Amino acid sequence: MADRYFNPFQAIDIHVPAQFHEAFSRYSQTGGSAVIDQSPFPRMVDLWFMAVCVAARLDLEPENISQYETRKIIDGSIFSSDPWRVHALMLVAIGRTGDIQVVSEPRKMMALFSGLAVAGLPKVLEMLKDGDAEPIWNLSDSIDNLLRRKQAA
Amino acid sequence: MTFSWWSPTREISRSPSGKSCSKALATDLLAPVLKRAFGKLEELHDQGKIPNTTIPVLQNRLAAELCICGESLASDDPGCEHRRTHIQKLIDDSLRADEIQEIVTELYFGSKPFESDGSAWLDDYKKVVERRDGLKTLRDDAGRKFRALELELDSLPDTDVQGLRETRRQYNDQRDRHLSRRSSIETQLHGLRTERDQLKGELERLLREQKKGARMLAELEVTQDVSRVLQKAYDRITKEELRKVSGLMNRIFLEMIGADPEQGAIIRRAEISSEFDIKVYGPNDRTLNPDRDLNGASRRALTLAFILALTKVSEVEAPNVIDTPLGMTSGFVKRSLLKTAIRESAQLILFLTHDEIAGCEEIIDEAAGTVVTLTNPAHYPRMLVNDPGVSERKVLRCGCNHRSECPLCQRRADSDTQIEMAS
Repeated sequence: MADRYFNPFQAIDIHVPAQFHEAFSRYSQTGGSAVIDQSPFPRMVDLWFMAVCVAARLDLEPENISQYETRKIIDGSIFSSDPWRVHALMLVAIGRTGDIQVVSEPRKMMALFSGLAVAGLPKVLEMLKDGDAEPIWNLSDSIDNLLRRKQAA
Repeated sequence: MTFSWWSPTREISRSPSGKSCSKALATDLLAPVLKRAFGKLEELHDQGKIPNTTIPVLQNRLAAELCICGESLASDDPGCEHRRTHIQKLIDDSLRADEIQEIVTELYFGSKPFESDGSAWLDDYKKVVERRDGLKTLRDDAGRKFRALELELDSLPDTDVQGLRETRRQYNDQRDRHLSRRSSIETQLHGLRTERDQLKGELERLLREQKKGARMLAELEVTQDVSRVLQKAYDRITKEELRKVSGLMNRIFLEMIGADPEQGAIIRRAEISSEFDIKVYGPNDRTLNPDRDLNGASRRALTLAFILALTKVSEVEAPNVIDTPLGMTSGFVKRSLLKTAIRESAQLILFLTHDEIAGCEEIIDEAAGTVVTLTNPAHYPRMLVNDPGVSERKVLRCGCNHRSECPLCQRRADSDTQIEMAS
């Protein structure tokens, strides 16, 4: 089924700054604890995607990832089994750049996403730690507050 | 309680809207930026660039070999070559320019599920939090109970817990044995009740038979009693009474006929045999046949002797009513018979004819208490002198005794009667 969908990120690797790699291992079940309360994200790409979403939500400026030492967490083929994320990312690219033409430039889009991820990761990590409960509840409560604050605004 | 928001491969939590929780969260988080992107796509749509239909239309026209304007595009017509070449060039140019448009078209239609009011995840999360809080309350309650139990356990004296458990196990085993025993006994009880019901039915049947048997036994006992009484009576009759009657009859009979065996009388004695036959014996115990060897007076005397003896032995105080007992008798036998009958009877009532009375008047004078005369009116005029004046058949009674007569009972002399018969 995944083959039916167009995945422009098929051949592009996803990198994150090495300084966040420990956090990726800790909060991802594939790299750290198998307990979901402590490691809310099943895979590293899920934390990466969360960081992109938070950055987009908060209108954070994308960081220049080229200035960081990076590590690959996975390649873009992961999205072939997850087509709605492809659409979501492409819409983020259009929304952030205001340029339709960007959809024909996968590497440019991935650079944007990587920059947003680097910008959003500190915020997500802060959310995971902000509270007395387990990381999953800290994060959920923070997102809840974030969504409600914006709704009220 | 845990849940997964983030993984597309672990969509164990689906929101009521049908979206996975991770997709719902992304939709809500990205709502502002998605709104801007949708605005761009809508502009293209409004401009007619979405959907992308140019190339398919041109390819369709070439395949049909007929242009939209109506001109021929036949491949075998050299005149149409320049038009076919032009359309093919338009297709090639569009293919390059529409690569982006194709992506955008797919994106436009594929991203429709992202359109939301930005609260789908919030609603789902609210429900999850409510469930979590509810479970937390339950967990806290359980924790309090657990701590209370621990305190209660701490307050218990330092006893041999293992020993108590062993005791409990033994009691449990004992309970199980008793339960098993009870089940077995209940089964037996059920069987016994069934058997009791059957035996009850059998008992009722036997009681009915016993009652019937008792009734039959009582009847048998009564029958046997009656039989014994009758047998005793029969034995007494045959052994004692018969002998008494026989002896008394013999004495009365001999007295009536004036027979004295000592003086060589022909009739020596009479007796009743064990077969209840009256037998008369002559000299040397020769048996006499009453019908052949006895005259009428002796036969009449034998009959009266038997009746008087039977009455006497039975000790019944009742009158002897005898009709014409002196018939065929005369002289000594008649008078002896009458005297004996009077002596051996408690009360004697005799119906006598004038001929029977003749010769016995003084005996009657002496013994009779009451004498009346009964007259049959039908005897008039043959035997009665006067007409009784009675037409119906009945016996007429008058107070005349054996020595007197009245107009009612006055009879003709026997000689007169014989004359009339002769005439």
